[in-house]
Amino acid sequence: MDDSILFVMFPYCAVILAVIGGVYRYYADRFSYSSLSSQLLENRTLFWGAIPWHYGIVPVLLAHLAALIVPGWWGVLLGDPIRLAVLELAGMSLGFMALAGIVILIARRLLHPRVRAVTSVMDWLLTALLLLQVSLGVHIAFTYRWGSLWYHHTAVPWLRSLATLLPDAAPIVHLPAAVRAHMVIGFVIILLFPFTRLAHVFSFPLRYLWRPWQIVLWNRRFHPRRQKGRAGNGNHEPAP
Amino acid sequence: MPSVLGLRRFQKDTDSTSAETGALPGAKERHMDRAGHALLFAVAMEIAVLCATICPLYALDEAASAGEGSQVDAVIAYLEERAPEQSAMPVAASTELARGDFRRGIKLFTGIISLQKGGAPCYACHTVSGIAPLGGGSLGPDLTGIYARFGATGLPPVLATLPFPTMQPIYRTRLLTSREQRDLVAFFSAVAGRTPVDCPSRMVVPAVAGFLLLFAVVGVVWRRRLRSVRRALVEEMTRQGGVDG
Repeated sequence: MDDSILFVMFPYCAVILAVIGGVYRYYADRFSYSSLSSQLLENRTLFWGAIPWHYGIVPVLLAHLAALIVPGWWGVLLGDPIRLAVLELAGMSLGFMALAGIVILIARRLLHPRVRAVTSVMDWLLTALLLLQVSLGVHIAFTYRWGSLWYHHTAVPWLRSLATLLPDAAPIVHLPAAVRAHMVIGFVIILLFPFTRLAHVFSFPLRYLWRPWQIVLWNRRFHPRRQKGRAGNGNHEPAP
Repeated sequence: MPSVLGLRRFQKDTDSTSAETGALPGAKERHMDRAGHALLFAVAMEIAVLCATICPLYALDEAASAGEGSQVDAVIAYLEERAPEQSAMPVAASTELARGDFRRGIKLFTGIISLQKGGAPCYACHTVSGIAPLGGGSLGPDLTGIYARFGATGLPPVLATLPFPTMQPIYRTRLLTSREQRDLVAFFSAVAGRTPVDCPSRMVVPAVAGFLLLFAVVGVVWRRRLRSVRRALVEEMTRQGGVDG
């Protein structure tokens, strides 16, 4: 496909649709502006999927954004081989963690019937795309070193050219196909923001970080230990 | 209404689980079983996804950039052809080379000293044998043997113009200054005798170690997480030998 379609027209279309769709969803169906929780249905596998996924992907995404917003500082930060190696290795570890997290989350949705029952087509599409995107990201990080440095001189000028409405895809059109696919899929994911559970990125309750804390008290009846003979045969009724 | 359907199916699933096993839904054994399956499945899925996406991308690379590849080959062939002709002027070349600072060349290559016009440091995409603990970039070719390939007179014009399709958009308006070119030539001539080595394996081990460490940290930090309200109550009751009345 023509590069200008993929790397100029498509990004603009994706962002415009995401903004219009996002605003529309906010006013038309505000209560849905979240990620439908399935924690009540299954919470053990969820922990090992959701925590590694979010703690892996958020710093990696922020690093992508930081290079875009403050390229000068980013260049200075990476201007030393040791700092670069430390940051790249941290990024790779986080990438692996995000990858493991999304794989566990997808496996959970496939294998737990209750969670599968509440999974929509868009959920499948989104998680599959995220898996693909993170796999590509990890692959790129290992195969085409040093991504954080050349990103700064290829993708950043391209994205900034898009942002300033003077689009120029020249810096990226000669990059390997895996890198270009990573860029296009990135914009596909942006496009999907308002149409999927990804909307929760914008409704994350950040103010929880500074709201007053709450104390939760449990009222429980005290049960003195029964006689040994009756305990442990496993046939007892659950608590009412 | 997926959520309503989901709830119905969930209820059905819960009922059938209770009826079949006589145990509570979500009993521990079932979870252990699920976790094992999930792990196996996860590994299989990851391998499948990597094979299914990355292999065609490589094929696409080769097919789509056939023209570009031949363009690079043509540039290199031209430069290599010219190199011996130009070595007919050794005096000027060696004088130029003598002015280059090898140590400054290393710093320019690795980005410790920024390029004056703001171009990317060579190190972002290229490596030279033995320059840093984890080596340089691997997006572009290894430059350890570049001096041997192009020679003392063939290399400066390459550095002056950087006539490669991938590099042109980055350096077109940010070419190397003549001093930077001389320092880099001095650096490349100093490393010409080394054997090129690739070191991706050096990256994989610490990255996997970091990943395992992060997973362990997650387990430790959240060890006192609220695993379940109801399940904990039921387990406690069971341990205590049932419920009154």
